[in-house]
Amino acid sequence: MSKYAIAALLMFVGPMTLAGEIRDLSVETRIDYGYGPEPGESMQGILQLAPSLRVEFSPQLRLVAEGRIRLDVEDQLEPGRTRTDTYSGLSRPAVIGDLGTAEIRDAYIERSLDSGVMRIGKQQLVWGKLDGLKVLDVLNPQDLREFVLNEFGESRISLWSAYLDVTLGSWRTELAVIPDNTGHAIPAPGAWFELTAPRYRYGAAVGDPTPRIATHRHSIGSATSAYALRLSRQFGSVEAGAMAYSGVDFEPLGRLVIANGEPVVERYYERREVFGLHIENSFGPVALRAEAAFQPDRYFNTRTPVALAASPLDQYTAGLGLDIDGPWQTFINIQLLYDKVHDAPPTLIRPDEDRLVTVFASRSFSYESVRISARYYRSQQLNDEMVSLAVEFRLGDATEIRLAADSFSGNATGLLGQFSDKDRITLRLTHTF
Amino acid sequence: MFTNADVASRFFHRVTARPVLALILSVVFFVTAAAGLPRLVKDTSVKAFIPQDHPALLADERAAEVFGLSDTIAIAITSRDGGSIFSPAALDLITRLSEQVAALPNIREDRVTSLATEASISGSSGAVDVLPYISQGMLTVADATESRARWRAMPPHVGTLVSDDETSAIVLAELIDSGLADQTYQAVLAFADAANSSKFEIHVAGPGAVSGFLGSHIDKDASKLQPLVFVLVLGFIYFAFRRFRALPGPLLVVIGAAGSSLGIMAWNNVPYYAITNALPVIVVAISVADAIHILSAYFQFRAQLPNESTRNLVIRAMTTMARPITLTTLTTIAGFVGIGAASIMPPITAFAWYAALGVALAWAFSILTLPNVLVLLRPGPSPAFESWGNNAPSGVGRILARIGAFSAANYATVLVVFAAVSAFAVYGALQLRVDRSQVDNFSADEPIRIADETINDRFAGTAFLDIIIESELPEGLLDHKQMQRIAYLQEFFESLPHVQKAIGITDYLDLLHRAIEDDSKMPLERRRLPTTEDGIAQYLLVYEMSGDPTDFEEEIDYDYQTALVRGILNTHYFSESRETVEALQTYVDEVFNDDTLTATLAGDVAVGYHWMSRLEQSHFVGVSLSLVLVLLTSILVFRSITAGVIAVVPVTFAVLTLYAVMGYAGIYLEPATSMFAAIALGVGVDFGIHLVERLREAYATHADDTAAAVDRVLPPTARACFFNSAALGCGFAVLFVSELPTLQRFGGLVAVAAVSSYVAALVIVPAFFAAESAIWHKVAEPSRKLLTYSVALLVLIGGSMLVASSTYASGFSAEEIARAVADRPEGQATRRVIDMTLTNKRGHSKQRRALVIKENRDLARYTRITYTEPKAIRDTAFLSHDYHNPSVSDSGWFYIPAQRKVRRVPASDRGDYFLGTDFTYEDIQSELKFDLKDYDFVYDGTSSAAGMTRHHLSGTPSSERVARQIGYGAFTAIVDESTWMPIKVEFLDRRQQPLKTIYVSKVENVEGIWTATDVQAVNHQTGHKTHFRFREISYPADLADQLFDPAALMRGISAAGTGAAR
Repeated sequence: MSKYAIAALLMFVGPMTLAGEIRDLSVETRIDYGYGPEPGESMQGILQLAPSLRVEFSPQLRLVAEGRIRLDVEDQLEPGRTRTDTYSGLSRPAVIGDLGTAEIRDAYIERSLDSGVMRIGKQQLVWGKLDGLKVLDVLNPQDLREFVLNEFGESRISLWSAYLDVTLGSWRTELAVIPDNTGHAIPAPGAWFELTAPRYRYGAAVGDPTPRIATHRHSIGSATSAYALRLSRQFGSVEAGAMAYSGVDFEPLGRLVIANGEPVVERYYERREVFGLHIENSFGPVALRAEAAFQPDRYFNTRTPVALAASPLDQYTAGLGLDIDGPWQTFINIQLLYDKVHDAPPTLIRPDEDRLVTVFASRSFSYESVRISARYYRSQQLNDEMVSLAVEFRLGDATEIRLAADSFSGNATGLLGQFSDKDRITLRLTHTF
Repeated sequence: MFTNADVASRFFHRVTARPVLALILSVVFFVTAAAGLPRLVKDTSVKAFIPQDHPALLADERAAEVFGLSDTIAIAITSRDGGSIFSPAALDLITRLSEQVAALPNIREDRVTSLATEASISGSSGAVDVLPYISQGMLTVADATESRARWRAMPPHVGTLVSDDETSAIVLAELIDSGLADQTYQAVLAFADAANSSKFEIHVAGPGAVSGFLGSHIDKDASKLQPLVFVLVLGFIYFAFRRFRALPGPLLVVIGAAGSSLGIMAWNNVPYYAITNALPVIVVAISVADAIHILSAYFQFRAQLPNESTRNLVIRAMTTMARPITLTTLTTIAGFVGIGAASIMPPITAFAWYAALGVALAWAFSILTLPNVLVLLRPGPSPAFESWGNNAPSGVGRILARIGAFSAANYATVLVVFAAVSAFAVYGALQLRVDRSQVDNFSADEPIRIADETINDRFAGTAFLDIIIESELPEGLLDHKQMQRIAYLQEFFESLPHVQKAIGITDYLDLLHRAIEDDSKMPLERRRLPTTEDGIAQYLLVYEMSGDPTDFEEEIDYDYQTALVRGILNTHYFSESRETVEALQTYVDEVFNDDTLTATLAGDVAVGYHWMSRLEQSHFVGVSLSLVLVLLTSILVFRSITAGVIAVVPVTFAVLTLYAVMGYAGIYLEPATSMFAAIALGVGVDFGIHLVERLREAYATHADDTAAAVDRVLPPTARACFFNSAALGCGFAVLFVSELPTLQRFGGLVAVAAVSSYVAALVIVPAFFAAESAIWHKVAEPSRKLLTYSVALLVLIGGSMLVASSTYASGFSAEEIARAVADRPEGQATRRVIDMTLTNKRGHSKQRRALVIKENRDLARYTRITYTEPKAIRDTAFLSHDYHNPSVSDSGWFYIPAQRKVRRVPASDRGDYFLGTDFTYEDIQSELKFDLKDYDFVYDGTSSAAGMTRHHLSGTPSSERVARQIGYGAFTAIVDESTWMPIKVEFLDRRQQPLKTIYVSKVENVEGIWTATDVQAVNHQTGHKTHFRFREISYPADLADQLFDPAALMRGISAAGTGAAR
């Protein structure tokens, strides 16, 4: 979305607020400093401003809007001018020189119904129950500039959509129409968290020069819109549901084209369908959730020495998560993910199987003024790992300080090992005005 | 000025051009400044720490003005065989002692209170008899027995004049001048010693005795020991240089700086407060430090340049040392500026500014006077520096250099060990308690402490918390409705923790009422007052016919406009009395005060509370601010963030160590000990600055070769710092031999500060330099990973903190009471807004607001809590389905807006604390009811207050499993019979230790249902409090099903669903 469109939207929102009552107007200010111990240099120095607004026109009708301006003086997460070619025209952030971006995160009108809610506008729709694992959380793409380290709500990209959530009898029914076909925001070459594993570079080996990449996007229309339906209900203490989704894949495929006499990898997107089931329950100190997804004929790149192609293959994904009230008031979350591409040819650029284990533990002190947490991810394919430790201090209600250390290790071709020289230490200060 | 060696050299040439003149000018300056010393006025009172216009202080002055209250001395007479004090011999002794004490010059003759001076009020058939307890003439056993019976019928005198067990009596005497308290105490002690016998034991204590004794003994002990400290410090200087001619210079600097700063303080009419005792210590420390560094440089050059003139040697030494001395002065001043700027207590502000002045004067004397003294005295070569002639460091210097070199060579190990030690120190520091009790200033076997503890054990106590109640109009207190409000206030006061008694005019009016209405059969606990328009005035008139009209002058003033309620607490500890003060203040502010009647808290306990609260608020802010200022100054002077940070590490470690020692040793943080942090700052910043300064220079010339730089720099610098540290450490350690714990702590902690900052500097600074050099530029990946993990480990160590962080009317059984409480109507469904205030032990508060809806249905109890304020947690919601069938697992969901999804959560243990509050899930769900299956109940009796019957009920968990689930070991509750609402519940934890108390301060009838609208939980183990105020309460017949549907958490909560605006 261009600067002018953002300005136009703001000009539209401005007068609208006069028609209603402003319930919330605030600005979250965040300073993020990151240091990479291996090269011994700073890798991020971000100032982020996130103004948010809530206007209530009536008890049932409200406008919610949130923007984000992000400026990075170190410029290593998105070196140079931020690339926005993976965004649709509707959602594209405005680029501010080489420094950063400004975008609208949320901008929707919400109408409460007797037994539900309807929302139209730019929003996030989260249908997955697991944390950070994309089994059924498929309605919104992800910003991968900080890989999986960013908080899930931060990295999820809002899309222009229409959403209806109603409870009919005992059944909860959710419908979403998403004309916005934005894909994952992929770090540019040279970025700190540039995806260098072959599976993300269309099969190119680690260390191979990065080819020039162009992005081909379809224009917005019904053919590129996404449609989703979910039904769920409580069966006693068990919640279960099923969903169906059809939309343009967020992960681009690649094909080799010749442009101006040189080979270029052109990113393009195919549609995919996702059919999923979820179940959730709790037993004593344990809460359990499970998701399973089936994606028939999803396109995956294959690569031979002479060709980069795409083949439709079935993909099965299952995830299991446990929340445990541990001893000494520690919260523990354990998740297992299994992902399989069925009948994968040997030329598939990604492994035919992914097995991932994530463990998260946290404990609060001083009446939740201090929280320490540890996250551990392990990919069983190549035994590569990620460890993230953090301590957060809440100073009053409006201010938080967070100190964290992230470390990756393992094979450079692995999901996590590709960042083995990208450890970082971050200090974040957040204050809400 | 001193950054350029040539400029510095020229400067010192000029300074030393006319040494005699310079010396004369220095002496003239000193004499002029120090001439103010005789004007110095001492003010060691508690009240000095509070601004003069503070309401507590004004109230206290008003109490003294209206009611003539002043500090008291208490004399307790105890029968050794445990027999009753109501015997002829004992009563005679009480009379004699009362007369002797009253005759003392510093005692208010009309303010001696004992059985010998007080009278009982009794009567019948409308006649009132006011009879002294002890009549004139020989006393018989019958007289004593009759006196005892009358005393028993006087509740205000039970536990105050005579102990409840009748074995002890007290004589209270008010002082005229608190400044002469010690002499008076000694005189009373003489009477007591004479009166001690095989039958009776006499103890003398009381606030007046304690503070007077303490003040004079601190002065005496300090004046004996401080010269010894001085001698030892000078002795160390001699030992460092082994030249007598090395001593006059430092002596002049010390005396000049300390004397001048105190003198200037006196000229500015700033009193000498208790905390000002630390000022000379700091000035001595800085002066000694500067002098040792200068002398070290001088003697080093002396050895290396034997043919050089003294003046040139002095100039060389000054040129070398001027910059680091200036740096340490600037950083120390920055530190004190921080303390002064952050403090809200006048003595601490004054201390900080004049300490900064003293440091500046020490610098001036060191820069301008000391070189001239050296030029004049021409000290010869020092035997301690002989080896320097061959450019070889001395023995001490060599050893210290080796330590530094070892540290640099093994920096990783050193830093990890340092981190671990710091973590240990952090843990100790977190045990530090802000608290105060004056008797802790005495050793356990000191007679005055034994006496004070005995009196507190046997009697109601000696800690007074007063309430001054003022009516808008003269004679306003003769209005029976106003007097009834005072009675309710007293009853509330007595329900608070540690309050043994609350005595006011209403007690005497009650006694008069009994006598006049012939109502002696009514229980003594209830204060009954006349209910007619002129009843009170008439009662007081009747009293005057039999008794002395001035008998009530301590309870009510002549115009009947001002009354005093005196609460007697059985604790002097701030940490214990604070909840009483705060609860009482809340009641006064929110319930009692209005346009016609206002109450203000006064008395020692109130004044002490404000003093300590201010300290709590400002101390850590002040120390933190001063450390930040020291850091910023260090960064500015070194022009390097890294160097600045490294320079500050030793002093930060010293302050942390100090807090850790105090935490582990159980030394409270109170005004007397709060200055230790300032001393640690003043003493400790030196070492880091000197070492960093010299190492940076050495690195520059040795091309980052750590070993060579350390080898070059450490011997002279570390040696000088060593003797500095040793002089202070050993010198102040002498105070350990004092009998007063106060002085022992003072000496011990200064020694700890001096030694820990030096050791930290010697070991850590070289390690940091080595780390910076090696790690960032040369080390391969595995070590970087080690660093990442080490930093991560430090993150965890630095971030981890462990937090320790639970009636029966006649005719009811325990189970009936519990059932009545459980059956109290609570409505099918309820909706209310909660305003929450969460306050930690440091007084910092967080505010929350939430909408709570509940419905009790056949299948389960549904509860939904949605936060509406503050913005950071707005729309965060919690939902629970608690099934009545125990075989069905309860369900819970959490919605965090930032995650945009509803999360199923494990069913919480009932005993888990709810969302950062001091209420458990069980507390929230139970609506202040006790689950009949969970407890075994015991009836503890009944009482009445404010005309209402209260049942005392206690309970223990019915099984170990239940105890584990709910997290309580037992509870005791006071239940109001009119509402069947517990108004106070004290919980013990599973180790039977006091855990928390829930107070219900307000109960209102909403739609026919008794509803607690003001509830507070105080956690005694963590010092944290949670205050809930409920409003917009309604009890709809039912609520829409979808409100308790997990899906609805994401949809928000609308007015339509709950019947109220969002």
